[in-house]
Amino acid sequence: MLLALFFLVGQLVFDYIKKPELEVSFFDVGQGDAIFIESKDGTQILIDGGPPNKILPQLGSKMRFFDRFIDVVALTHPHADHVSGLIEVLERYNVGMIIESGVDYHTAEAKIFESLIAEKKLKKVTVDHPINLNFANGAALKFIYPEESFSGMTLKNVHDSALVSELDFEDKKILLMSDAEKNLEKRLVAEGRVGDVDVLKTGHHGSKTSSNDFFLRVTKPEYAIISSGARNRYGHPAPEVLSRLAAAGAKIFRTDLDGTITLEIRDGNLIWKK
Amino acid sequence: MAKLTPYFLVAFLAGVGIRSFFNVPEKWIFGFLGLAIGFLIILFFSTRPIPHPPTPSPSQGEGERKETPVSFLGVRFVSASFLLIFFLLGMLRFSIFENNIVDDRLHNYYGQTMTLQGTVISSETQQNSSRLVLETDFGRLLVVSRIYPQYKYGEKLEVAGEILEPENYAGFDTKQYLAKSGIYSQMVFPEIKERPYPLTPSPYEGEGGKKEIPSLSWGRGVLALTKNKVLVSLFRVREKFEANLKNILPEPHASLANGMLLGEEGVLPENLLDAFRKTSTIHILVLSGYNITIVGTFLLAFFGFILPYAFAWVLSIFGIILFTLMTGAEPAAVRAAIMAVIGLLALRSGRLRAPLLSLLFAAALMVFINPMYLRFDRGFQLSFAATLGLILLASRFQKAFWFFPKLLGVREAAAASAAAQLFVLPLLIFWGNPVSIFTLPANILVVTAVPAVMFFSFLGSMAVFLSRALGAALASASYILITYQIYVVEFFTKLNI
Repeated sequence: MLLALFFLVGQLVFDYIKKPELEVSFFDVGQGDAIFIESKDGTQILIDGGPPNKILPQLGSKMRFFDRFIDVVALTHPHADHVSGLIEVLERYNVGMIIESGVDYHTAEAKIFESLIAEKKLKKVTVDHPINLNFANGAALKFIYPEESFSGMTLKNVHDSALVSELDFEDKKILLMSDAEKNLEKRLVAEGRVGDVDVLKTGHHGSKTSSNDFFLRVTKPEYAIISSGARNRYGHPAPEVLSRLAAAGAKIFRTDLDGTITLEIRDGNLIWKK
Repeated sequence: MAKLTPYFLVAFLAGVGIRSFFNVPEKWIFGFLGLAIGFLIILFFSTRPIPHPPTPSPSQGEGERKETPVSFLGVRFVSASFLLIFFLLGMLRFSIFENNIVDDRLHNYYGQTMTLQGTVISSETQQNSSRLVLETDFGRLLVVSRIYPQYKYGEKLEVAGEILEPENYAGFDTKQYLAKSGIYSQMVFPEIKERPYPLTPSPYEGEGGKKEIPSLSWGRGVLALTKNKVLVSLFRVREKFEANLKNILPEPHASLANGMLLGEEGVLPENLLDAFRKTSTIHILVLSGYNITIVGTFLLAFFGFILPYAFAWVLSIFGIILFTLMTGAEPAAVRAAIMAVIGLLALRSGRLRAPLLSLLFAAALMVFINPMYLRFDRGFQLSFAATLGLILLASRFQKAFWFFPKLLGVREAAAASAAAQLFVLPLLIFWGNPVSIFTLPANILVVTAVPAVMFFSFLGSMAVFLSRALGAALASASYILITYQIYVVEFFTKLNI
């Protein structure tokens, strides 16, 4: 026991020293999204949880074994490939705050997620106008969409209510598009809500309805990340999207090929780890 | 004749074993059975006349004469035919069990759409779906469903869908594997409705008649147990225990610890499972007497060091019973515990015969109850092999391991696990896992940590009932040990390429 304690303390000190100021991990959760943001001061934000049975080992590898607290969990929209993993997270971890659009969705997964929030009496923030979540020294997670309340509404395409956010830190901008499709991209461009970014988490797992040319011309990403499952049945990412991204000059990272992709920001530099 | 009992048991097991690989028509079995019995009868009568009838004192004379010329040949033939009979009975038992499908009425409805009501008797989450087993009035039904919502043991459900015959895939004999548990039909993604707890009487007219007859047919006796409140509450205890474990350990450690303790690994990352398979260490995640035996011997060795031996022995048995109860006392665990206790018996007596006989008796009884265990239940195979190893080799290994310290029973424990491991190894090969040259070192390095992992995870999980922090502190030891195990299997897997 004592040896174990020494071992852990040693690990802790070492971990803290080598930790980057901000780390963003695009987890390989198969066909789905799960993005984990951690700052050096220990703030942890999880955006989406991916499909079932994938997220927990990933979190286990990033979080220390006694760490059972995640500051913020955001659900961009209640599709199963985003919400299922979050059910497991809520069952195992203590969560400081839930952020979601509040849109109504009929699946068992979405209902269980909502009932878990109610049961655990978690603090819930419904995004109905752009808000900023400031954390660590100067880091900000800006939710730039939705601009209206979807709370309790049923939509034909739930993707139109997806939370779109931008992570700003030391002049680096990372745009997280969730499952936003053409409609939403048009709207964001037309309203001038998006600009030049460094990293783009492409919308909807690289499906052909997302990452359109007009959108890429505005966002000009240096790097693009596609979060999709190996050999998924939807054929994501679409070849068109890959060529559009290449034409826009973005270097592409794919969770289906590269596994979990980790982006560290140290002294204003982007450092990629696969 | 009594001296031959072990051979009869072995003959019975052999019969079941051979029958589970080859289909022998019952006609033949009965034919040979008749032949053997006929032979016995002939022997019986032909030996009668040999002692001369006109002996003055029959009681004395008969006895003496039988000893000399007759028994020599006669006993041999008699025992040979008894061996054959036991062998054939083994085959017959398997055939009868296979024919149990007659009791099941669901398989008559293959291809038809039905609405069925039943109780969940097991549920298991897999990568993209979950698998429920429903006990319905018509027989057992495997239901492949979505992961959410999750259904628990004892819940009443109504399912509507097409009844299908299970299909073998990827060279795995799914049909037989399911038949082992009396399941002959499945429904894939049916419509599922939860039913209020007091189940309304079955609306199926005419079919209700047979319902109340408790299924006494061997191997399906579990049916009555679902009604048993004790079992349900035991299951709830187990559930709580598992929840505690998941509360103090992250993934994949929690699932691995759960696998070592309860044989239920949950859903592990595919590459990690592969690493365990490739190093032939996957058996630590199967619930078997192997794990329980190891824990038992460690307890015995530990208590034996500080307490009188007999007292330590009782404590270890008590420990095993407590452990079995905590893990929900499901049939597999109970079987494993029985084997483990026999193993401890062997360590205590130091003699071979009694424990060996009890092991064979236990095995024959279990196989008699469900002959499919022999080939299709890995937990059973592991339990048997490990206990056999313990009985035959533990004392020898103790002498060979003279260089281990006796402190806290280290030597005894090392000897016991080495003996068990040696006998488990052939099984791993037989299971078709690719056996690498690193199997032995990987096993030694991984398995030695198993008892400690089980011990600390068990204590940690129990401690959560008092305080989570205490539980987490205890579990930190198993966290480190499991991290070490993962490191070992991944290291050897990489080497293997």
